[in-house]
Amino acid sequence: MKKPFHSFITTILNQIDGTTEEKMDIYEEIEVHLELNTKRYMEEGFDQKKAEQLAMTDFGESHKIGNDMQEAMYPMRKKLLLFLAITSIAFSVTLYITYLIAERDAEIIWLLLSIGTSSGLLLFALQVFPSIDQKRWINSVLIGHIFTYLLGTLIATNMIHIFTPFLTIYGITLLLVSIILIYRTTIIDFTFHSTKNVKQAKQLHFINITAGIIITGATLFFLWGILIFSETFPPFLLAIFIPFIIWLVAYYIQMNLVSHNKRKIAYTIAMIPFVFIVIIVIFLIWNAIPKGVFV
Amino acid sequence: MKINRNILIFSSLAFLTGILVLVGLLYNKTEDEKQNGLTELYDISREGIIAYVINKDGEQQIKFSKDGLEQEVVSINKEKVILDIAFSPDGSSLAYSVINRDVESDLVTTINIIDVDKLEEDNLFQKSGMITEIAFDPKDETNLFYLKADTFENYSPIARANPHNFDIYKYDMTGITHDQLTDWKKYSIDSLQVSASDESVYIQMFNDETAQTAEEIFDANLRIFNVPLKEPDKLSIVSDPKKEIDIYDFTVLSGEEKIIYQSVSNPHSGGTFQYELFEYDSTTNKEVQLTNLKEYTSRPIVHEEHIYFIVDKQFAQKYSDYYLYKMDLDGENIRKVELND
Repeated sequence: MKKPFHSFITTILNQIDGTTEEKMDIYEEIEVHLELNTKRYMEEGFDQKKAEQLAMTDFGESHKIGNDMQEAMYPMRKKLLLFLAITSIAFSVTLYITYLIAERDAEIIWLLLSIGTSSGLLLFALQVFPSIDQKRWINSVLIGHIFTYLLGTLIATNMIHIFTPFLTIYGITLLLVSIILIYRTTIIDFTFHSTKNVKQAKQLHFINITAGIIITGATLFFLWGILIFSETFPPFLLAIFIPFIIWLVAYYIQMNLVSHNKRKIAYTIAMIPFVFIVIIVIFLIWNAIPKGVFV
Repeated sequence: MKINRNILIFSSLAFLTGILVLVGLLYNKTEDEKQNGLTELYDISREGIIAYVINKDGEQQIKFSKDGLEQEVVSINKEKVILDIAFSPDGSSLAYSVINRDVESDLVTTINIIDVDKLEEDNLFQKSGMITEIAFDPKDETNLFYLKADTFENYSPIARANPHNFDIYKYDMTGITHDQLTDWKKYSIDSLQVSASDESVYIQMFNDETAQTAEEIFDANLRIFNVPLKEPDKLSIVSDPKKEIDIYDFTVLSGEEKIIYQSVSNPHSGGTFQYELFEYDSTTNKEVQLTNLKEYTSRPIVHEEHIYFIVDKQFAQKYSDYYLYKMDLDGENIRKVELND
């Protein structure tokens, strides 16, 4: 049998991001509150139906309540997503048209990808599918968005046009906003109701996202270098992705360990990608000095 | 209401994207169609006719120019590309080498010849491989020499595909015979020029004959060689052997003691290389820099009292922008030659 407040509470929850677990907790809290108010009104002499209606009226308009709760739980998230989605679409259209005029090249695949990832962000900003696990999906779309707009920024730098500096700075700004949103979604908006090892998990997320940006950036740089000089991609060059895979696996293991309260091992594993980065940086500097790079 | 708003927003976005894709498909140009204007390829006949190759909306044309009068001679199919052109010594005919743009699937070169007076075209021969350069023998115009690469491939997995396994050949038009003059299978050979005085040719390639190790091969420089046709393995370097940097295009002046060649004028500056023309006198062993345009200067050809050459004003950019120039033999009076490209 359908509960009396189900539709009302679902409308509120549809305005809120968060995991199913978080939403179930909020559902129960609102339901208990409404039931207590219904009981009070019934004691005052109202029939059950009228009492339920009065309880919901007292609680407030469902859309507004939902929005207020979303803003309290995840301040500015919707606005930031909306801002990023709209400015990204504007960038895509401007870059596509400018590149077509300047270079007579229609970057159709890039346009479809960029409008696709921006539309994905718009879906979350407008909460078109409220029932899905918002955070995981938002981060997935943001990662896709970063790769697509990194390519867009490279296209902008490659163009000979008066708009090139403007579009380059525009693209870099979009990338920075996307990266900030990933940090924010993962760390600041971290599981609202979770209390277990929250601080440690936040620290590990921060360390891993930072290492991930460095490793992915370096991997893409070397990949770009290879593709510039080579027309083919021999299978052995796939080894370039090994650091990225190590980072990804290490990240997954750490989050599992911290959720099982094995914090020391988790921190030890977190250091692995950083040790790799430090060794590689020292190696590059060591090799660059004799070639006079820093002179 | 909310669903309607969302449907409206996302439908508008899809419509906008569709319009942009359509506009893109209409205005997109292929890489070949984007390259318009003069190419690096030109030659000058004894009578002063300048034959040059231009790109026009994806296809190549050979044009003649003399005393300000232009004439379109040949238009090449969009699928093909011209590799070289050369006037016969008496200027009565122009040969050109043409190949499919998609060389990796069809590595066959065709050599055609145009009667300069009648503008009639004839096929001389077809050969598998890539004939990158052709040059008539100044002593006997029935002999056409050519450089042919047997393969078009990438030698290393992280290198671009290029013509390789080069050798020098001679085509005798009277006997309709081909002679392979060398059996070197060289990594690269360029700038073929036939000697006007003896049975030899001049070419440019790496001086890696004695190189054994990878380091020695890497340290080899591009040099100008004289190759005696009877004993091609007894070739000798005719450019300054002590020059520390590469030498590219060249032309040997009559008398064959002086060479005008292209080399880098600022090898140690750290900036974009500037390619200039230099004159080297083998009798005095002295080099003189002729141009100082700070651009990409190439393809010197001497005609009467002038040196003609090509300048790329967009060197190291995405697309080249070539112009024909000429100057006096001492490097003075540099000026642009107007061509209708």
